[in-house]
Amino acid sequence: MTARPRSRWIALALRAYPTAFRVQFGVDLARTLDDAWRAPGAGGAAGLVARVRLLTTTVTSGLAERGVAASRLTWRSHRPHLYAPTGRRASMWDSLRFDLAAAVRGLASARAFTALTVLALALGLGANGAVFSVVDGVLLRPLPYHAPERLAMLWSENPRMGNETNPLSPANFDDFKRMNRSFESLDYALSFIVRVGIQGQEDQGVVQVLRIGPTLLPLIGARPQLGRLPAPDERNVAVVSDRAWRARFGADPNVVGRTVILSGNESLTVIGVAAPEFVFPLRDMLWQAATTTPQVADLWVPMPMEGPRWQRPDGTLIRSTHALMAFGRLRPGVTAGQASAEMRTHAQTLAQRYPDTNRGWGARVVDLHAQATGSMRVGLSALQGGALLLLLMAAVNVTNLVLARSIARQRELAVRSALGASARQLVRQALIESLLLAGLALGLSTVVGTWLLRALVALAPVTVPRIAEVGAGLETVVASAGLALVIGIAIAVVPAWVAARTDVRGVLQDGSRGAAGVSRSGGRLRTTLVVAEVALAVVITIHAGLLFRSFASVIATDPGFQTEGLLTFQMGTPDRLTAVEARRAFYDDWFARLRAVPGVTAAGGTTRIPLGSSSVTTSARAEGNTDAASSLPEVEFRRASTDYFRAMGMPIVKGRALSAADRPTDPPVAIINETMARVVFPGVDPIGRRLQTGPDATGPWITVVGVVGDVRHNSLEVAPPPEMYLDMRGTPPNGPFIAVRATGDPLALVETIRGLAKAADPTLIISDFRTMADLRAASLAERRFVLTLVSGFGVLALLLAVVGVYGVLALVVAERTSEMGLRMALGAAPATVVRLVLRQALTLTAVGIGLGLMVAAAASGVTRGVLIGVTAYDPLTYVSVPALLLAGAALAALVPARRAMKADPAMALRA
Amino acid sequence: MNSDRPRPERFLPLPPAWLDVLLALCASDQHGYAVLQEVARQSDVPLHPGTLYRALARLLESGLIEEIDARPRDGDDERRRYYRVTPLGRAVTRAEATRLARVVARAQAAHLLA
Repeated sequence: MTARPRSRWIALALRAYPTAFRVQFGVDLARTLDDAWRAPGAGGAAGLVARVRLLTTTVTSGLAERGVAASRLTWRSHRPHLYAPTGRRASMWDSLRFDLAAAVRGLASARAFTALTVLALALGLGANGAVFSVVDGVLLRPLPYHAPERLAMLWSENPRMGNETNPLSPANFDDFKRMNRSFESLDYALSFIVRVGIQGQEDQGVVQVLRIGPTLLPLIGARPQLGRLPAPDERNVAVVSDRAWRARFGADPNVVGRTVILSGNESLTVIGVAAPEFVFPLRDMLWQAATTTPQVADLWVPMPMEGPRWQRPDGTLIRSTHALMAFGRLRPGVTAGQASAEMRTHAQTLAQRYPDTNRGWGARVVDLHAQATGSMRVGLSALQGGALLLLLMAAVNVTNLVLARSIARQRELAVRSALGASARQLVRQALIESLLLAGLALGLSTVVGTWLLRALVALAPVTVPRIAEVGAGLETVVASAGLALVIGIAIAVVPAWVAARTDVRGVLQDGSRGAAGVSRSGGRLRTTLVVAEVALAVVITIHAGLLFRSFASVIATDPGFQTEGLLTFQMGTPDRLTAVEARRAFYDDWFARLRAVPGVTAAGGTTRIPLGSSSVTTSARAEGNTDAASSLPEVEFRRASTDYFRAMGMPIVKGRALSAADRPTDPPVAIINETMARVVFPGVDPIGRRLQTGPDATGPWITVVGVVGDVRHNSLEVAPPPEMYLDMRGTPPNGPFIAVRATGDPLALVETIRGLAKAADPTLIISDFRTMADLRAASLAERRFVLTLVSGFGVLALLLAVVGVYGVLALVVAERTSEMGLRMALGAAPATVVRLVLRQALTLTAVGIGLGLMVAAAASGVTRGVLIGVTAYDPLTYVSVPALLLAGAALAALVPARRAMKADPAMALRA
Repeated sequence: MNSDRPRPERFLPLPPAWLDVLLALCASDQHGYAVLQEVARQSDVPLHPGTLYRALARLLESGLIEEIDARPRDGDDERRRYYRVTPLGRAVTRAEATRLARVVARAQAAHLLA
C-alpha cells in the first residue's frame, strides 16, 4: 500500500482522539502508527487483518480518551491536566456552564413563568406522545405474521353495483389460484366467524370458530407453541388460539389430542395451540362484521371445499355464492398494485367464460396491512393532527410568554451587551434557557404521557385492533424528544430576535421603560402570534364541532327497531335434536316458555341479530326477471321466528308478518324489507309476488307476504341493504339469536331465562346476554372515542386561545396605563377606555377567526370521510365556533379593560 | 491534603502499561516510539500505540514523567517529544516493583513458580 492512503487512514483514526490530545501527541502517535503499519512480516490477508485491527484499536483507544476528557471537564478535581481550560474549546465549555447556571437561576426566580411554560408544553408533548403510541401500535407496527409486508387479500369487486370488496365464490377462488402468477401461495377462510357451543359446557363453553383453507395458517406464518399446524388434507382437527387455550382450556399443556365436540355433533381433535402473538383475523380481514363484537377466532378449523355448500350435485364448485375471503403471499418484489392488475385480467377472462355468474365482477388485491388498518386510519390521523395542533398552540402561547419576558428583560440584555457580551453570546443564552424549558417539559411529559396513554387505552373500544399491546416504545420517546428540541429552538428564536434588536443606548438612556422601537415590533410579533393561536383554535374546534354534529346525527339515526327494553342472547340447541321436526317442536315449546315469563311481552328468534352479528347474502331473482345471475342483486338473508318482528319492534309496513298458520310444509313465504322491495320489485307491489334465491338464484320459489321496515344491521352509519326473512321453522337453526322484549329492566330477566333453559334441557347453551341498548352503545364506541378526544382537544384549544388573548391584552394595557390615564385626565369616559381595549381584543380575535375559517375550510377534505349527516361546511358549526371564541375573547379582555379603566389619571400625569 | 508531595503508594497498583513505560524511561530518556520498541523487546505483551500515548498523557498529568527539551543523542528527530522520569516517578516505579516482588514471593510460597 502506498503512503498516501496509509496516512489518510491513520489521520482518520486519529480523529477519534480529543483535540487537546492530538495537539500534544498526534504527530508522534501518527508516526508510531505508521511504523507499526509497515512492520515487517505483515503481508497478504494476515497483514490486512493486522492493519484493520491496528486502526480499530486506535479508534477504540481514542474514544476511551474522549471519555476521560469529558470526565475531566465535568469534575474539576484532577489538576493540572491535559484538558485544562486554556484553549478555545475549553473556554466555550466554561461559558456554557456559566450560561446553564444563569438559565437555571433565571427560571428558578420566575417560578410562575416556568411552571406555566413547562406545564403547557408538557401537556402538549404528553398528548402527542400518547396519541403517537396508539398510532404507532395500531397503524404503523407490522402485523404479527411472518414477512407481513408480502401478505395481501384478494377481493371480488363489482363496481357497477358499488361493491368494491366482496368475498369470492369457491369456483372463482379456485380459478384465480390456478391462473395467478403474482402470489406464491393463496388460500381462503370463510367470510365470517361463527359462535358455536362446546358440548357439555356452560356459558363459557361458547367458542368463536373460523373455518379456513387447509394451508392458510402456514401461509400467514402461524407458529404453534404446542403441537402442530394441520396437514393439507387433514379433516376434523382444530388449532386453538393462545387466548382460548388460556381462557377455555386452563392453559392445559396436554390439550393436544383432546377431542372437542361442537354443537351439531361436530367432533374435532385439537392438534395445536398457536403462539401467543399470533392473532388472526385482525379487524376488517373478514367481511362486514358487526362492529360491536371483536372478530377474534378461538379455533381455526380446516374446511375443505366439499359438500352441498360449495359443490353442485355434479361435483363442480359453485360460482355464484360469494363466501370466501382469499389471503395470499405475494412473490418477492410483486406489489399489491401489480397483483391487482394481473388478477383483473383473469377476472375478465372468467367473465367471458362464465358470463352468467361473472359478468361485471372484477378483482382487487389489497395489502393486508392496509386492509387491517384502513378503517382506523382517518380517525387516528385526525387525533394525531389534533394533538399536533394543540402542541403548536401550546408552543405559540409559550413563545408569547417568553417574548413578554424578554421584553421585560431588555434592560438586563442591554446591560450585558454594554458590558461586552457579543450578540452570539446573548443568543446562546436565550437558546440555552429555552432548551432547558423544553427539556423540563419533556421530562414532565413522560409522566403526563404515560398517564394519558393509560387513559387512552382504557377508553378505546375493544374493536380497535391490537390496542391492548399499545405502549410507549422507543419510537415515541424519540419522537417526543425531537419535538421538544424543535420547540426549544423555535421559542428561542423570539428572545434571540429581541436580543439582536435591542438598542443598547436607547434602553439605557430611557429611564422608565424599554426602547420604543423594540416595544412596538415586539407588540406586533405578539399580536401575530395570538392571531395564529386563535386561527389554530378555530381549526381544532371546527373539527371537533363537525365530529360532534356527526355523532349527534348518528345517535339520532333510527335503527329501525326499538332498542329500549330489549334483551338479546345467543342459544345453542341441544345436540340430540338432530331431526328437523324435533327442533321445530323444541322451538315452539321454548318460545312458549319465554312468553310465559312475567314481564316478557314478546320473544322471537333470528339467525342474525342487528348490531350483534355478521351477515350472509344470497342473490335474488324476482319472477319474470331474466337478467344473468351475475347482475342479480345480493340480498341479506335471515331466518326469523313468528314473533321476531314484534319482539324487535320492527313495523310491518305492508302485507303481514310471519304467522303460526304458515305451515313449514307449505311453499315457503318471505318478509322483505323496504329496500329489498324497491330493489327487487321496482315499481310494483311485492305482496304476493314470487322470487328465487340460492346459488345462481335457482332455489325453490318463495312468495313475498309482507314488507317490514328497514333496520341498520351492521352499523348505524351504513344505509340498510336489501334484506329478506324466511320462517325459521322451515330449517330450524342450531345457534339462533333470541330477542326478548321486556316491560321492565331487561337484564333482570337474565337469571330467569338461565333457569328456564336449564329446566327445558340441561344441554341447552345460553350465552352472550346483551341488551340492545348496550349493543347500540357499543356500535357507537369508536365514534364516541374519537369524539371524546377531539372535544377534549377543542376545549383545551379554546382555553389556550382565550388565555393567549388575555395575555396580550394584559401586556398592552400594562404598557399603555399612562396613556389611558392621560386620556381620562383629558376627559375620556371610562367606558371609552374599556371600548378601546375590547375593540383591540375583538379585532385580534376576528382576524384569527377569519384565518382559521379559511384553513379549516381548506383542510375539510381530511375530515370529510368521518362525517355523517353533516356537510364539511356545516353552517351551524362554522357560525357557532367563531361566536364562542369571540365571546371568550371578550370575557378575557374585560379583565385588563377594567384595570385600564381604573388607571389613575393623577398617577399617569406624574409618571 | 498533601497533593503537593504525593506519596508513591497512592499510585499503586499501577496499570501494566504505566509500569512498562516507566521501566523503559528509567533506563534512559526516550521518545514515544523508542518506548514502544523497548517494551516490545522487554515485555511479552505488546503495547498498542494508542495505549502508549494515553499512558504517557496520564503519567504526565500525574507528574510521574516530564517532557524534556534536550535531545539525548545528536541526529535524533527534533520534532519527536522526549520524556524523562521524575523523582516521584522513579519512587513510584520502585514501590510498584517492590509490591510485585512480594507478589512473586507469595506465588513462590504457594509453589506456583518453578
